[in-house]
Amino acid sequence: MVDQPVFTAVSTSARQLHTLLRCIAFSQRAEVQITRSGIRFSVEEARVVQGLTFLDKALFSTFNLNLDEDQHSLPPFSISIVALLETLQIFGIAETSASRNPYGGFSSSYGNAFTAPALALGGTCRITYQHAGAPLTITIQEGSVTTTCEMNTYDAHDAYEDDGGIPLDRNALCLKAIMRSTWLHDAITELSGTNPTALMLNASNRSTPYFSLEGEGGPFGDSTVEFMPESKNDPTPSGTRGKKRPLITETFSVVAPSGSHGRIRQRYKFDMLKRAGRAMALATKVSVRQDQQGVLSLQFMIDLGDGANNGARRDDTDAAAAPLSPGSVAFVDFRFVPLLGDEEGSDSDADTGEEFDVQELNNVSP
Amino acid sequence: MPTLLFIVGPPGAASIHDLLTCLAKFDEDVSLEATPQFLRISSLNISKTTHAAFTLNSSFFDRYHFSPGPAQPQPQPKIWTCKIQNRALLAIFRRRLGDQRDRDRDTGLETCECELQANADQAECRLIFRLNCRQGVVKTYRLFYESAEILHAAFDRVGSTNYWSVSSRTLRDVVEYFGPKTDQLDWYFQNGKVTFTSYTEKIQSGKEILKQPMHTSVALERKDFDDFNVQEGLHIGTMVKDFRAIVAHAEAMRVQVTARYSRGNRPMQITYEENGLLAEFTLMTRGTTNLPIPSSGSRGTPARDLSMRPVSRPPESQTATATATVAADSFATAARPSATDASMPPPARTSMRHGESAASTLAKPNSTESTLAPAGSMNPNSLFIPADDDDLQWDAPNFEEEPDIVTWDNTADDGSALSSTRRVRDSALHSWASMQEQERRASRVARTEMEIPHEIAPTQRLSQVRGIFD
Repeated sequence: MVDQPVFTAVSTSARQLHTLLRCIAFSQRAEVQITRSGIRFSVEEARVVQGLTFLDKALFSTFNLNLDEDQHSLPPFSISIVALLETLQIFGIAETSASRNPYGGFSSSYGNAFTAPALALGGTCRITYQHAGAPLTITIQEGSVTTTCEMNTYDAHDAYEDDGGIPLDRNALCLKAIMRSTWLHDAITELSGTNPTALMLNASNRSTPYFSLEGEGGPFGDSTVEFMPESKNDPTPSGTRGKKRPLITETFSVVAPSGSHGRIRQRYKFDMLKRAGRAMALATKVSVRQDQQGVLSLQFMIDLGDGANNGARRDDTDAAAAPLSPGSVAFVDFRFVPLLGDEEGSDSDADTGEEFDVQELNNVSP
Repeated sequence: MPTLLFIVGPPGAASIHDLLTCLAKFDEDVSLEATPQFLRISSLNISKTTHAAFTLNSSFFDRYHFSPGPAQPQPQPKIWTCKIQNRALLAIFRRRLGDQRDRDRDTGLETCECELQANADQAECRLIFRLNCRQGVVKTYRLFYESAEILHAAFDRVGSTNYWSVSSRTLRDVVEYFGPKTDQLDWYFQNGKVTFTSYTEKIQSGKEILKQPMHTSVALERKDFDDFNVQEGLHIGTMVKDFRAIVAHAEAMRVQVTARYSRGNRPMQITYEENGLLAEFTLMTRGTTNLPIPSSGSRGTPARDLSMRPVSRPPESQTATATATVAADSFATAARPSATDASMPPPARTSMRHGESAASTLAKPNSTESTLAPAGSMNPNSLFIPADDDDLQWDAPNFEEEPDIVTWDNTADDGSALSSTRRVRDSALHSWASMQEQERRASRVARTEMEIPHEIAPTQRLSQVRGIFD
């Protein structure tokens, strides 16, 4: 029983794992937490941007976590995400560069039907974690070739709360918008043309602009992408006419703090927003949320394909009730800390500072 | 305050993208000039040898409006000009994925509006580009611009009698064969064929070979050209890079390309026009070693001389000194280096040179001298065109004698371009050049006078004069 690893998972598609992890690979290290429901990867940079993805256990055909009854998860550890990605694509799964299709997601086998991933020969990927502190072993088998990688694990240098490093106050949201991720991606790509330093998110529920993104501080000038409630030339669908929300959003609600005339203006560092670019390009939908402290959360829904090489579909019964089975979509979450200027209320400044103080204490205590 | 507003649709935006890409190959800045009739987007390369201008008239735009604003106390040109970084414009007009994708669902471009924000009551002057896309997405750019005086290349169309016109596809086929690293281009017409040669000279630094010599020649039949009138054997040299850029853009438009030129070391213009877009590239050319015998039609015409001369220039006087001054022809310029280089030529030869030099200067319609041989009898191939045209290149710029190298005018009006030609002069350089020129003239006059018996004898020895700048 000693040899029994504390954690074993087998996936028939290394490609799905690779796709998801690549979305958050903007930094060297990822913090890994293995829980009973899946594996959570979190990457952060300078405490102002954080990327999270959760590999649901439904993505794996086997998921064994040997824990005591009262334990919920293994202690977190960190690994090099760059090395992990290298390992996962060792059979060249990344060669079929996920060509972006207009409806989000990636077209899995378009154009090259005889590559390994399209033929579902991507090989099986086995992740083994012998015991806490042991290397994470990844075994990838394709045909008669087996590759085993042992990756050193490091102590997670700080333990975050369950919710994640950057706290988003879900009970005090002041903006919530759901739209197709391509809109956001196009907008960010557009703004990056002027190479801005800061992104201003501007939203209102009363007057135009209802929702706009502005790039500020570029060397050539400023740029703005505004989402209008109706298209100038296209015939507007009758249902949305007159509504005070952009045409492209599925959900749009602004609860501006009192005294702000129903308008939210918050600035973020543009370079940090670009960290989410890959997820933006791949995702189908994005949920944009902002809490009263100005913390921005972008939650991307990524379609993992039609399940041609998806081993999860077989034991998917318990998730069948859900509208979207966990095996076919995954979520990647990004959080951003705002830039604090003098125009925004100083109280939010204090709040954020306080929040981080609390966190520092939490980090020190364990 | 000037008002500028124009609107283009997606095809227009794509055209603007193409021309900006082309201009980006010349300079990192572009100049915009707006007049009530047209908008001109141009670039001048850093060595001021190539000027690329695209004139978009109102038929190019869906809507175009420009008014220079209320009348100023002093009469001002009715244009508005600015400079802007090409990168900024390229970011706006870059090809978008959405333009090719599913047009019903995506944020494809519908219209692009440009508006100038330069009002007295506004603190910020900006050039605003507003891209109206589908699904109610509006992308707005507020760009900084820099007001600037725009230079135009002056080109003497009347005097440029050589021209050919050919489809862009033919030119592209020619350019495709050029070696990727070649930098010089030369073409000439001989025996019914036009030969385009791209070449690189060998450049060696010590033992290291920096550039390998490379020659690629492509010959076209005369019948490949739609319109052709070129002096036989005339070599025209220019840069491959510039030519490539022009051909690439012309090929994107699929047009008929026309080149006009007079001879080497004089500007050449390549033009084409379609859908309200007129492209004009004015390139400096270089003559190559075996210059042909200039035909009477292509040089020395009074019309060209007139256009070469500054307007303010006084009419020629009849004195010998003035006649020597009017040797404002690079022909005489070409003769000079050989004259100054010769260390101590035998007297007879020297006098021969002077005679012919004077002949070339005096072979003007209003020349009163008849004692010298007529201009037609001289053979410039043997004597006056030195093989090393590098001498010409590295000479101090002499604006008096080579007026076409840097002539620019800053008016946007096409019609008056010739009459209002304004010269750009670096004052220090110019004064140095003119000082040298005066010295040379003095020596030349002295020499000329030595052979003309009835003139007063020179007061200074030739050797003394030459000592100054040798």
